[in-house]
Amino acid sequence: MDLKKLGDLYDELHPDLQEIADSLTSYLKDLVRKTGVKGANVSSRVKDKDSFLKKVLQKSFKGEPWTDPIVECTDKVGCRIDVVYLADVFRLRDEIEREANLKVQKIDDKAVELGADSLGYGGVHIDAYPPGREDDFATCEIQLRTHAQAAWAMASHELSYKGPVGTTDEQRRGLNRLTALVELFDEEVDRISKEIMNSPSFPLSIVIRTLESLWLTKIGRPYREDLTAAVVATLLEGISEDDAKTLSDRISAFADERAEQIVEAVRALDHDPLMSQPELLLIYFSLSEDKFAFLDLWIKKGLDARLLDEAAVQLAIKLPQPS
Amino acid sequence: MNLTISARSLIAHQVPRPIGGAATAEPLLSEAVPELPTNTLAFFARRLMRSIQDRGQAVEVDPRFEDPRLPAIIQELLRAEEMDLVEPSQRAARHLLEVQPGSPYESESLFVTADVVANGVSSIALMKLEREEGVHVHTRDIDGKRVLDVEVLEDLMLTDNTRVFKAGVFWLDQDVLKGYVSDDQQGARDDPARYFLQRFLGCRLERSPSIVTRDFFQAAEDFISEQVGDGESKLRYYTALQAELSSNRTQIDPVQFASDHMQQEDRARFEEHLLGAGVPTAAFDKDISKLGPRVSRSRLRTSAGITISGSASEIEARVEVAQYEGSPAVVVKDTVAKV
Repeated sequence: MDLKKLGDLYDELHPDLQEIADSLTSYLKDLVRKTGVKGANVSSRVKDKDSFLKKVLQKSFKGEPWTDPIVECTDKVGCRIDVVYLADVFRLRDEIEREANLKVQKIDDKAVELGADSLGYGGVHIDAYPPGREDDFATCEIQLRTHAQAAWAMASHELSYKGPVGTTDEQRRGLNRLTALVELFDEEVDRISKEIMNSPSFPLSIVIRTLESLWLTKIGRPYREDLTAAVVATLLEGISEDDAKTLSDRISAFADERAEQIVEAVRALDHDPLMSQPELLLIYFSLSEDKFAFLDLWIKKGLDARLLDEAAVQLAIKLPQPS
Repeated sequence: MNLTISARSLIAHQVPRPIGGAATAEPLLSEAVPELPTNTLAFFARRLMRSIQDRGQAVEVDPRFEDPRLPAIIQELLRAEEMDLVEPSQRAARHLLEVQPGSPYESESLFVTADVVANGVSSIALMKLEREEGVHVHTRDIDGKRVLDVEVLEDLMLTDNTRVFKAGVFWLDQDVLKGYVSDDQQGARDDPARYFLQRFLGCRLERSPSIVTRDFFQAAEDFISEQVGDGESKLRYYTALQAELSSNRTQIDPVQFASDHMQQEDRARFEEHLLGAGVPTAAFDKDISKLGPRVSRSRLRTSAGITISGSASEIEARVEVAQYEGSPAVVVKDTVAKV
């Protein structure tokens, strides 16, 4: 095999591979957003020429030489999606498998491969054609990992290449021991997350987070978190997680649509610290949806009807006198 | 109506109370537009919006009116390349002093002219504010010019003690002056306190109270008949509608009507239905002259085609929707007098 010629061919392909890497990254970012996975990092790289050639040689040394390395090396373009929760690794794996635009060729679930009596790296690696490309050399590798798995993989990779003659058994055993911590870490994070999500206050926190984010980005004023939490808990008592998510989406759309009016309203209500708060966005949304029902709820919860009236005026909403 | 307003600047003049129908004193006129804090302008806008939302009526310039001074002043301001409120608003204040009646309805007041934006359109707002104990105005000098003290304005706009509040917002729509006017002192049409719309502003309501009352009744009746499902609610709403029209109250407030008489799930739909039918949801003067006997007589038709008719009060007292042997039934508590 003429490594020089192979290297030159790889150089020629590099711009195309970079283009594939960029478009796949943007596609996967969009997929992550649509799937609703939070806290994910999506990145990509095109394999360096020397890494590619080294891999070709290693295959030969192992007695499994590639006949067409450009096609058979499937991680020339690699994309990584690192997520907070182990559960999200599997969610994304299933999503990618279902994606019609990604022609999945192979899925390696490293944890399954390890079996019951071994510890080790547990990410999911997927070989797939990127959207719109089915050239035989265009296969990419998509790695799905938790942030903890990513940290281990990075440290492991770095340490494995420290010495020119490789690592000792003892050193490799030390690295593998760390995977037990990674597994423990990820399982604890998932368990705690489930516990939080099952707590009665979790749906409220979804709405509060949305209100605070909108308040900070659209209004940019300080507020009292305890007051926001108390008012939202009072108004949305017993809300389910699904309803909280739907409500959050609708409040966001409402705040985008009426941004100018809301900013003006907040300015006018500035003198009243009780109304110059993120929960004002929930109040405005609810008034716009059904002012009669919201007024009834407001009064039922023992809140001051005059405060609501003050807020309503700013949005040109006429409230009846409470009976 | 959905009218959102923000204020850019304003000027206030003090208008004294006329005694015996004639102006006996000069108005105390500001000579410069004060620099006001954003909050004060926002308070002003809020007070104005509340008034227009609660009682605002769409108005137009009355072509029959012989004294078009105010429409001319407003149009002059709206057409100016650089709006200067001082002199035109002084003229408006003098005009107000001239036309307002000398009656116990009025006391010393503040007259405010403001450069505002209403629903994104450059507009002029006029307000007249009064308090029972009168307005004690302090002035200060800015660059040798007299300006009414800002604290007085804030106090008037924020406090609930402000007794009379008349307001108008005007803009040009394809060069035609349009606007909304509200008057806390709305009452009978010959009430002297109603000078604000006609004699001062030179305007008239776009739709007369008799037309609005008729349209409200028709739209409400359609809603009850077509969009309310159960018979019991139909009867209750219809009875309430007739009671509203035949009561001694001089105004109808559609939003209040929905809140007082309808079930929660019907209120917002009712308001939407009214808006769809072109009926204002702000309170309006009641005038049942175009409704004839429809106010005093009720007519109900059952799903089997039986008609029950009678005076509204008898229907209310004697007809009810109840359950009879597990089915809905209309009960008429009366005896057969004639066949």
